[in-house]
Amino acid sequence: MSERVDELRRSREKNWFLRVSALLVLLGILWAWLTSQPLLGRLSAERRWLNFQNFAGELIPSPVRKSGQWSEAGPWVGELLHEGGLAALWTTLGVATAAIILSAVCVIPLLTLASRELSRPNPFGLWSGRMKWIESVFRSGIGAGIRFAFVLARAVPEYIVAFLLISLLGLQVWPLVLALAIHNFGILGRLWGEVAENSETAPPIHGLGCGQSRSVVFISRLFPADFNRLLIYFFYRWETCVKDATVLGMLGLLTLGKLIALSKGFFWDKMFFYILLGSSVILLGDLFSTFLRRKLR
Amino acid sequence: MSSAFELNGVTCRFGDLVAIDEVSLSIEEGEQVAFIGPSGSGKTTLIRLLNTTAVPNDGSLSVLGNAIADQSVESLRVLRSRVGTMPQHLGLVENLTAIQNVILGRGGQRSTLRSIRDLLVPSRGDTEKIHQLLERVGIEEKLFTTVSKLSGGQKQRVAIARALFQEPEILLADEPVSAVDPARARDTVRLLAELSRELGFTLCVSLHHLELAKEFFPRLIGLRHGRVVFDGAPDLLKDQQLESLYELTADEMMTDA
Amino acid sequence: MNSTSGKWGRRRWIVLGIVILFFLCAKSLGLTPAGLIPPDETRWERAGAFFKAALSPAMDYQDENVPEDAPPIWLKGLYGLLLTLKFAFGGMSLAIPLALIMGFFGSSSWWPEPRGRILDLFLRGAFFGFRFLMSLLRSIHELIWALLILSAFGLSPLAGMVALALPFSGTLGKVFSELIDEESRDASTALKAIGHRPLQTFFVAMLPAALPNLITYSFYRFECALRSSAVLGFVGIETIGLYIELSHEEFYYNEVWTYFYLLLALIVLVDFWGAGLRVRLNSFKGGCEA
Repeated sequence: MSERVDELRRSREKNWFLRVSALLVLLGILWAWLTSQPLLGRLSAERRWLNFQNFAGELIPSPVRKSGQWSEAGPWVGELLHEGGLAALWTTLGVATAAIILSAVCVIPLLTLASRELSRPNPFGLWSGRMKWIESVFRSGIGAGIRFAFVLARAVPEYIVAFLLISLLGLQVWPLVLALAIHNFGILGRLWGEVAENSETAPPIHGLGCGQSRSVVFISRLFPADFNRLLIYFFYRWETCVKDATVLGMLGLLTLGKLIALSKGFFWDKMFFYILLGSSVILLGDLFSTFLRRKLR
Repeated sequence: MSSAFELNGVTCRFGDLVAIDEVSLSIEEGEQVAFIGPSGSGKTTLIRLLNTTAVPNDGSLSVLGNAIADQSVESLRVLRSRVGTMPQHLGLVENLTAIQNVILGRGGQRSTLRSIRDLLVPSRGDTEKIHQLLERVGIEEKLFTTVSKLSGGQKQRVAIARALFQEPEILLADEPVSAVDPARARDTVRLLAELSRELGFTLCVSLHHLELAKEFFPRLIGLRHGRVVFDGAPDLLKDQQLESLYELTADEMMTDA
Repeated sequence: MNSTSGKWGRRRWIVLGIVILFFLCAKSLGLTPAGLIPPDETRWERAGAFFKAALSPAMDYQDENVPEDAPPIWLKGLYGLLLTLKFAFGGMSLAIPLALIMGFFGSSSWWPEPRGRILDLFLRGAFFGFRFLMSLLRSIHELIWALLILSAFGLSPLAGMVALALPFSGTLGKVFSELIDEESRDASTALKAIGHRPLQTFFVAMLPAALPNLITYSFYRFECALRSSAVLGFVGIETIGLYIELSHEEFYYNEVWTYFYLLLALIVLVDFWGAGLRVRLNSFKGGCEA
């Protein structure tokens, strides 16, 4: 009896891919911690503590530091907002919105070609007539090709691309918008592609059966049926874009990031204020987007 | 013999809906009982009352001699661990293996930490015991198989094994055959009835399948609109009562089944 | 079936609104097609050189002053990738335990039923408190966390890992709690009916059921951590991002492309690895929410 249990235990299905993955991850973590020496850098602990105390002190708004009264912070905040805080906020939102819409507009026409089902020579396994070999080769390869383009686009770190583009296009908004749009093009391509692939197959099959072309099937059947889910991902990416747009400003453009980078080192209190301003906008965007997604679900 | 269940004028309402309406009945330990009736007749609510996950709005209910309304959270939990339930949708954790699901049957009698340990490293004794149970229900070779890879019938066997591992004094099953084909349904009901006799636990099953109920259960309880309209041996069940039970003629009943 | 009937209805207005919104943004930001052209002669040349270099990534250092015995550039690039991986591993290994703790309190599926008023207040307080904490953590970008932590404590490997871990734990924790709460409660209801405690069903039913989704989502975040770790190079932490920045400063565009291609290759590799994991775990939810 007992041998039988051991036999079953030995012969149970083992997934080598999962095991090797787990092992690699474990080794990676161990290696990361063991080789990062000195983990705490070269400064002494007391030195760091002093640093920290100085730094924390500097975060308090300067008028409050001088007079010791928090009521002085009000006008200081107003001044900072007026000086550029509000304009920077506005730019941040604008960059994020323009970028996400740009990538959405680029992804939509590609979805028909990227869909695992629709792009095949015989979509959904339906007989679609005899086609020239060149066309069937094109049909077989195009889906994988576009999906790989999505993978490449989303592998691109937007901050580095923005950094490179600024040196070519000069200090203006385009590099930020383009960098965000390229990365999100890849992400939306994957997320929306998954939505289209997981959606009900009966309506598009019916459409194809009625002689509609693939694009017409996509526009008239899949797109309206999946609209809410597409929109949910759109808002989720928009929210992420707002956060990334803030930071891209650190490259020198008039979003909050620029103000943060400029105040760094000299006016820690201002920098901290701008960080809090940015984070409160993102919190609001987060709430707004959560609300919209709840509604759409 | 002492009683497994005592219901006295039990009423259970969900909002305006009266699911169980002044039901009084008593089920002795060791009995095999089938609840029959059309959908919406209150079978599922009755099962929920008996496994104490619902509480009567009126009347009194006692399970194994314990009045339900008076139980504290902890004593209710202990009482539940003596009553096994097979829910309609089985309630298995699909991406755990068969043995991991079965071992959870005894979780009510064990601490949380012990349960987590059971999932990760089951003890030798438990493993042997579960292997025997799976052998009894006919899927011995699936001991270490993930439940999501099993067929509907096999999943049901895992759920039965989980109930058996609990070693309950009473086993309640809610529509155990609603999702399997007729031949398999008969096997499952027979297996439950056999196990009940063999191991001596009380068995209460809700069935919409009248033929199976008649074949395997010495006592049928017919429900309609939350009331008991029939209670007795299957051969006492007249066509006329059946008609009032289902508001269908007997002929239609047969073809329906 | 209204939604599949092919009628556009209100969707038309939403699409139209989004398109109009784009033009409004473009106008307010001064986005014109002309902006896409490099503004002056030097930048034109620079852009030409930059994109030409894309076709011939450097196989050798462009810098004349690199010592003879320096390792070849591809080896340096691989070393940069290793450092990038190191911060990603370090950051994620801090973020996941934090996220599990915060996600546990941000989930409601283990709450006992029924519960007293005091316990209820306490649980709800913890629920909203931890949700807010997670929102706060992820509302500040990892680069800004790095800026703050480096300014406060000085440069060190740990500082880089913590900067990465804080916002990531916020995102992971939120998604963990949602993934767990979205799981079917059939199993946990069945187990409660045979005497399991609510907390017990959380650990033996809800968590195991959600585990494949938690793993694939964590893996997707690992891929994001790689990108972020590269970007941390721009605040002075030694990853491949630092190499890119340094080479770019000297206009060594071919070197920039070498490092860039290496980074891209690593991320694509991890992406495919994650896709393999998703298929084998039968989970299709990872990476969709954040």
